[in-house]
Amino acid sequence: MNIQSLKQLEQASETEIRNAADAVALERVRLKYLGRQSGTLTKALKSLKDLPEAERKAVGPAANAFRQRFEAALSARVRELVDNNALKRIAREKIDVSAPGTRLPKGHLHPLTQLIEKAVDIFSGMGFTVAQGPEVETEFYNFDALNVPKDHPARDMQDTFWLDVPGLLLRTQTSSVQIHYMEQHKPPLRVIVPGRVFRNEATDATHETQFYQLEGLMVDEDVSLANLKAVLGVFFRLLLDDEDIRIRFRPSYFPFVEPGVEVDISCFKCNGKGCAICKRTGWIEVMGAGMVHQAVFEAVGIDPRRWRGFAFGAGLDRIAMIKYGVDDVRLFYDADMRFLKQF
Amino acid sequence: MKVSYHWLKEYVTGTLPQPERLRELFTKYAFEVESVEKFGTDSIFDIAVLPNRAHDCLSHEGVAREAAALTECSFAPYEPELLKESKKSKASDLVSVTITASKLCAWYGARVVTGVKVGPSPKWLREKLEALGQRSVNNIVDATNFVMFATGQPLHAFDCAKISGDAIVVRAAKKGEKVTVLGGETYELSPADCVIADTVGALAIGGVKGGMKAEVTTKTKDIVLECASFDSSAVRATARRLGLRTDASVRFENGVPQSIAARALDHGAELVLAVAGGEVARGVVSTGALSFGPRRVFFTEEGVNRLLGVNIPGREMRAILERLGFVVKKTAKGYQATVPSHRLDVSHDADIAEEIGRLYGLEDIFAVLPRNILLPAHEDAVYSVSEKIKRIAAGMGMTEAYTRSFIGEADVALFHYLREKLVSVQKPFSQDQKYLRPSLLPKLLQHAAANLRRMREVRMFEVGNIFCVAARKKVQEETVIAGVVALPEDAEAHQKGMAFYEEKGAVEMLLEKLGIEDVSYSFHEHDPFVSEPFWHPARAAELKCGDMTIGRVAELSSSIARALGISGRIAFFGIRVAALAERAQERSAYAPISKFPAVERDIAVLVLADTRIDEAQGVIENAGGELLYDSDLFDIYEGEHLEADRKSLAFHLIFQSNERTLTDKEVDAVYARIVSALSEQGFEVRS
Repeated sequence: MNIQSLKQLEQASETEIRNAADAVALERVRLKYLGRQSGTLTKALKSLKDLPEAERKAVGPAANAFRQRFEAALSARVRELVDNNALKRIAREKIDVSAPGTRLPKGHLHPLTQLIEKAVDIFSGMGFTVAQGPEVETEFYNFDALNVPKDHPARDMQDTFWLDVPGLLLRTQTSSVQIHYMEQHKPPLRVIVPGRVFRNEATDATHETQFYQLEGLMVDEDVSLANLKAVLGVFFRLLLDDEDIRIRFRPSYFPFVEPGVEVDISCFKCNGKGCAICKRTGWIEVMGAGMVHQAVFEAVGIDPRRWRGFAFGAGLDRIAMIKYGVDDVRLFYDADMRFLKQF
Repeated sequence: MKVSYHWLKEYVTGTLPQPERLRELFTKYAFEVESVEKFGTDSIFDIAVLPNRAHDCLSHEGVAREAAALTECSFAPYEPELLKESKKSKASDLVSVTITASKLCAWYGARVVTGVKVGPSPKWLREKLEALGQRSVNNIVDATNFVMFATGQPLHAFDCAKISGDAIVVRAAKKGEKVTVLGGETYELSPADCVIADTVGALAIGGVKGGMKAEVTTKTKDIVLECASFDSSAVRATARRLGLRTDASVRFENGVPQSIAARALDHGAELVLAVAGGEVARGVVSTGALSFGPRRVFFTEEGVNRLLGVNIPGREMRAILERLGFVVKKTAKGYQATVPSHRLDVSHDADIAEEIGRLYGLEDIFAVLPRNILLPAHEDAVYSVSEKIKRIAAGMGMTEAYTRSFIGEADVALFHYLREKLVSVQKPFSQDQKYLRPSLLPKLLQHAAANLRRMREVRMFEVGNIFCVAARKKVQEETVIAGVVALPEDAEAHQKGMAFYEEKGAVEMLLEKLGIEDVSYSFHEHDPFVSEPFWHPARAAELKCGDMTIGRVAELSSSIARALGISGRIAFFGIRVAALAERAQERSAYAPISKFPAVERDIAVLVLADTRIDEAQGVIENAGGELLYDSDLFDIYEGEHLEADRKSLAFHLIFQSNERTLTDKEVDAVYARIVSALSEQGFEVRS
């Protein structure tokens, strides 16, 4: 074999490698040139030793260089074919990424649960802990110990669900838990009580026979109405995520506090300018509160000369209604998935 | 309470602010004003007078007194002139007054006006009452009502000629005594009620309403004008029991200050003369005693400031109280305040602080955070485990519902509840609220059914309190979690009980996540609250933790499902939260992960169709010993290729040691032990 025919052979091999469409065809090309027995190049290399010295020195390196280039071209073509295949597979496997994802069953926590958890978190940060009490109460805990004597008009402030068992009722306010807690724990105290309360009245978009209150109680040697204002300010600003919320106290009356106040927050929808939510007043009434009445301290055996306390009770349903723009309180208790799934 | 702006102006000197401004002042410093409405040139305030001030502010004088304290005006109540009394007739000759029930009525006074001409009221009087939404009756009745709206003291007028024996007796009603009141309704009374009677019978229900018998009519010539001090609790009890709330009863039940009685009676007599003519007989016929001696409250500047969290100087406190009619005296240690006789609500220093605080301006109290740090006490265990449970359940794809705490007769009938076990409500507003819920399930299942009309699958849960009557009529209350799954119709899935197993799976996961062990399931047969099961009798498990039943998992009985309009498959669970709270434990230590490879084998066991799976699994686990790291059921097969009463259970077995790599030979030996143990129990191992 001479240089000339080697060149021709190399040109032919290059074309064949290029034209090999798949791995099988490429293997055929490899065998044709480098097959152990009958490969054209193999044979050429084997025949080198039969060449005369001078010719061998010329052809030998050329043949070996050809062999190296051939092997390199072959593996380059292998990579090319692999890449092409991968591309084709990828193209075949193309999906519509805009189609919706596969959904696992999704659970939701009730909006009031979420509100309660947030409230509990905020108060926990201020050293308050959660206390609970029964929903079925005695007249003593719901009224008498809270300074609402029998046959007092203050009892008409709430329509009570009396049970057929004498003296038992469904609590009308979570304040009853104040009494249980103060009977069992010595001051100083900081507790909050989220819980269900009941009113025996007709239901409509703003009235339910059951709803949730968040009761708070702090008793210490030096607690004031000014402290109450500060704690409530922190609470509402964090709860509604609005640093601009202001707290306003107005005179009011609840038998178990003295002084008693109605608590308004500046409307967080209109920032106090006046809108439909705040009925154009710039303020939203959110809770009743005050300084624990000394008759309450006396009922639970806490010395009112030494200890002072503040207490408050907020209607959570109302706060949730305002926060989420819910216009009918009954939605919270109808277990309608179309409603619950939104939270 | 409706209050006329014009009328208020009559009781103050100085210029009262415009109605809108006055409304703001009331809101900030005194009362909530629900509305202000125009009535001609007048403005009518609707003021929410709360029970602590109802004794003195259900009147124009009371509200005017507040208005004066909040403004530059001073309070100037109407003072009746000295009455021109008759020289001839003496009241005590015309009527006598006796109280035999001094607990129901502390004082009773009467004046007699003779020769009146009953007829329509003059225009000014009619308009005054109409502005408040009151109907004008006649000049005598209108005069008594006017005095009530002016002063807060209810008055009543009787036709003198109709009082038998010219004697008024204030006594307890006789049992079953009947009175026909103005307007015509008849009420049956009891000895707890007070009546105003003559020698024959009742003329009025004391403090509540006058009777027909001595009604003032156009024929009336002489009247007896009554002014009394009835017991507030008794009036309240009577009015409530009779369902008869009147302007008078509302005022009496809040306690009318005794200090205003005599003046109100004279005011009434004077007004009768002015609008109906006649002559006032000499003297007041009265019995009983009025007591309104001065009450004094001691307070200190520091005490008030500490309670309010402010820094008001003592002289400012004093000025505020004096504006409200208190007489304040400095003492060695603080101040002594003499409470005005009409302020029945002030008896402690905290009451004084309230008056000072509200007039100083609650809005001006500067917010101050409490200073002390307090270590939080332990959170309520049931509350904290409830919150955890809710998150776990929501994480498993269930949506939390809140349902109402009541059930009605229809629910009781549908779920076969025993009425004697249920806590019933005395006077529910609606029949759906007749009983407190003994379980969360009736309502939860109904809501699931309602949701199924709009969606294919429902997974819901609720954490809430349930109630029952326990031993000795005690009410037992506890917190539970209940879950419901409703799936579409599918005969094959139904046959396999897949709804049941989904709920059971949820329960198992819940218990595992809470770290609760020692759980077992057995057939659920009995529920002490129902007369027959509301669950599928062959698909209900009782959940036990140790020896204690803590809940159940079941499919709903198909007849109840049908009654609820559910055609698919529906299963539920219920667990007592207190039981979970007691047993829940945080992971306390970790188990080392084996460094040696695991060997896996499967085994299929042919058993009788009614064999419990945990029975077969128990044999495997016992025989497997400590090298058997875990066994999992992965298939249950019934049907083709098997005899009808057989099922095949396939378990996946994992062998592993913490100390060495297991050889095939070791594993084969354990496997063989398992096979022979199964055969000994009569279970056939399929190859």
